[in-house]
Amino acid sequence: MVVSTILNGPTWFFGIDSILEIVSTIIALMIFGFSFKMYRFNKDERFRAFSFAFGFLTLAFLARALTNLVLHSHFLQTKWQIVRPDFDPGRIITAQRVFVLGYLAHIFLTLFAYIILLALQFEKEHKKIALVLGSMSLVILISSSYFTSFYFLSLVLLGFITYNFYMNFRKTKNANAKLVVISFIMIFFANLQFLLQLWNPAFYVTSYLTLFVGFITLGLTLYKVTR
Amino acid sequence: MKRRSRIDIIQDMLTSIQEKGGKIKPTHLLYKSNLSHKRMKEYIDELKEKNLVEEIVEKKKTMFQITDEGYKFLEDYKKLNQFKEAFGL
Repeated sequence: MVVSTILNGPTWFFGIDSILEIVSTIIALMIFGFSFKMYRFNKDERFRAFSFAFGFLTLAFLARALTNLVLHSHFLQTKWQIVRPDFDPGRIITAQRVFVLGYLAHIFLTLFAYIILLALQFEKEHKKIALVLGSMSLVILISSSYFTSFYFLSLVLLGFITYNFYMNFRKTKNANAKLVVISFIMIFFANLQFLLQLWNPAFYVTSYLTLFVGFITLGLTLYKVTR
Repeated sequence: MKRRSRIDIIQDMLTSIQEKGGKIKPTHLLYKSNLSHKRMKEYIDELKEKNLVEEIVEKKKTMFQITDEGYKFLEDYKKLNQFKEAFGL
């Protein structure tokens, strides 16, 4: 059943995953806000694109956090009520619909965000390559098992993004650039664990924790930049 | 040498005023900002319009004084550059 495939984590962690993700959402929103403010300050299109990337990430995380919250409560209720004579099977169908809508929103918004980040890192002449790569990844996503494809594609895109952030750090030797690299390494490994938890539920908890640490590090970078 | 953007030129002009204790003579600003007289006038008009500097008269001499908004601009410019460096923008 579709719903059971995403409820891979232990029941004690239900709700905590959403809270951790909401913290990441707030940090992504703050980065969106600051970069958009910087765009208004210098009218540089790169800042606008960067702010959009984090705006998409904010919405993506929010979609997953809310979907998980609804699903966890709905699924647990359903499991509890399934033994009762007045059990309504329509609840499972509703839960499945919430899951499909929430997770599809999460998948597409996340990929849009990563594609924008990657396109920003490419030099002008290679921007088209980044966009073609991104568009192709969206096509692949539609054509096969979307969870495995999504986590795998995210991993590939994040690999490139993290590598480019590392090259930026090597060039600038800037402490904040180093923090950005560390946070994106965390986000990369979080994504790897999201992929692995499809086969081994033990990774469900660690994936959310790693993502949380990655975004806390990004939040620290923002704090250091704006203080 | 990299061509300065509009925002870089404004930052250079405001920094020149700040380094002179917050006030500067027009001739000094012209020298420090490395602009033609015509271009500097355009920029000064813009700075005055945005309330980043104000024109004052001191001992019968015209001076340009940086405003609180001007100091805030310099702070934001610093943050912008730090953000730019951190994310490689």
